[in-house]
Amino acid sequence: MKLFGLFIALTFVNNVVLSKFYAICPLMGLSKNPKNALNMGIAVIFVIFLSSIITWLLYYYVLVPLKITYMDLITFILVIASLVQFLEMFLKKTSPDIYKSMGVYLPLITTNCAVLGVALDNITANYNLIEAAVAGIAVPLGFLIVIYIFATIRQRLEIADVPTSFKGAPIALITAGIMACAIMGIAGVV
Amino acid sequence: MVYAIIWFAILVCVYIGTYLLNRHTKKPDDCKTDFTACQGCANIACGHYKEGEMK
Amino acid sequence: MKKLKILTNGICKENPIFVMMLGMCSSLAISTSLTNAIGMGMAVTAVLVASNFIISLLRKIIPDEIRIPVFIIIIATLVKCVQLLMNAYTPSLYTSLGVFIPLIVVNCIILGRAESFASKNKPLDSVLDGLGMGIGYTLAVFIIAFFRQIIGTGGLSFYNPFNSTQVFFDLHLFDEYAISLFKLPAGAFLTLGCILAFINNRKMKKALKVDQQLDKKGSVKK
Repeated sequence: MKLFGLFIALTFVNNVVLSKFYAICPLMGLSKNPKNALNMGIAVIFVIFLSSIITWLLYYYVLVPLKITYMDLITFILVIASLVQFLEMFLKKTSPDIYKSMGVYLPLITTNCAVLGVALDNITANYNLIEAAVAGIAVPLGFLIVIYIFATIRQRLEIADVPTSFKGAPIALITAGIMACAIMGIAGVV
Repeated sequence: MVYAIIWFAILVCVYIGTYLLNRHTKKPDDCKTDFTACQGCANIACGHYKEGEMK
Repeated sequence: MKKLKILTNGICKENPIFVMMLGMCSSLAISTSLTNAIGMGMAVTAVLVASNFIISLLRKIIPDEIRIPVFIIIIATLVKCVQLLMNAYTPSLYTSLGVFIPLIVVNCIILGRAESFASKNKPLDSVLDGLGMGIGYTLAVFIIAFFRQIIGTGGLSFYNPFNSTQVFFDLHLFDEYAISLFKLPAGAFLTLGCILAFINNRKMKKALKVDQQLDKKGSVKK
């Protein structure tokens, strides 16, 4: 039951984009088309789930026994970057169809704050392996929901009557602000 | 201290190894990347940055 | 004079947050108070200057194929050093900035400047460029934090990062009328959106003026 509560908390209440500010760059840059947003979200789910588990294992079974926990940042970023390169190569070789639809976004995920943020948060919150895996699914799921909704709203903002100086990024940011207000309404549920 | 240097060397080798392997794997044929999806993206680390010359 | 132009480039014309829109993740999260903003700005400037310098020194030795991985490794090492230094010398700032200090590694500004400027220019120019970008970033986050703090809490306060008991100033202007929404994430988005709209407005008016002057010159010539 505690895991379910953790799942809901990380997906909706402490949403990674709207209340923890992690994945803002792809939100602004990539969210004009809902279909692309969906593909990006699915790619992000893969990467964060795998990286969350692998970084947890490396931290507790390599860095802590050898007493080199100060290498955590370098370990995490290099592992995440290698994982992304490996996944891209794997997709290119095994299934070109999946690569065509979402392999394009894989290199972009390396510098996505959310991946490194989830890995670091798992350590500071002292999760065990199961909780880290749940976090690895819940956080990108929250990201996917937000980026998909955001993409559909932005599609309509393109043809809406917006004041000229607000066109483009400013009105998108204000929309994100209103969505963040909505998320605030369910704070304290879990 | 020695462990840190050895671990750092292992990580660097793994990363550069996977990066080079990825670079040398060909993209599947008839794979046209839709660069209009990457508008406003100034991410230099993205592997498609140079190919598409995204603004 | 060319050196001065490189320095001011990062402050006005190619300001990382307001013009190029890079590195927004951290800028929205830490702009809750002036001290956080200036502390983060100092950290980013330090990492930018150091990474630009080192990459510019090594630019002829790094093979072209593995440029990006080597940049990421250098930047990660520098950020870890800055994090450990901040943990030692500015502990209160370290706890309030939290996880956003390690997230400087994936900040697009640093990798972007390393790739587009430091790997092609001499060390001194790269250091000036890093300094300019860092000052531009600090200025941008300072402006966002200024508005958020004064509307969100009705006052301004700034204390010394190195010695948290020393307060530089702590004004309380209007406590009852503060809109506490601006302390929360929603307020950060709204503030940045409005500031960007203001800058767009200025740019449009300037472009309109330039167009009018060109029209006048064209009609006089005819």
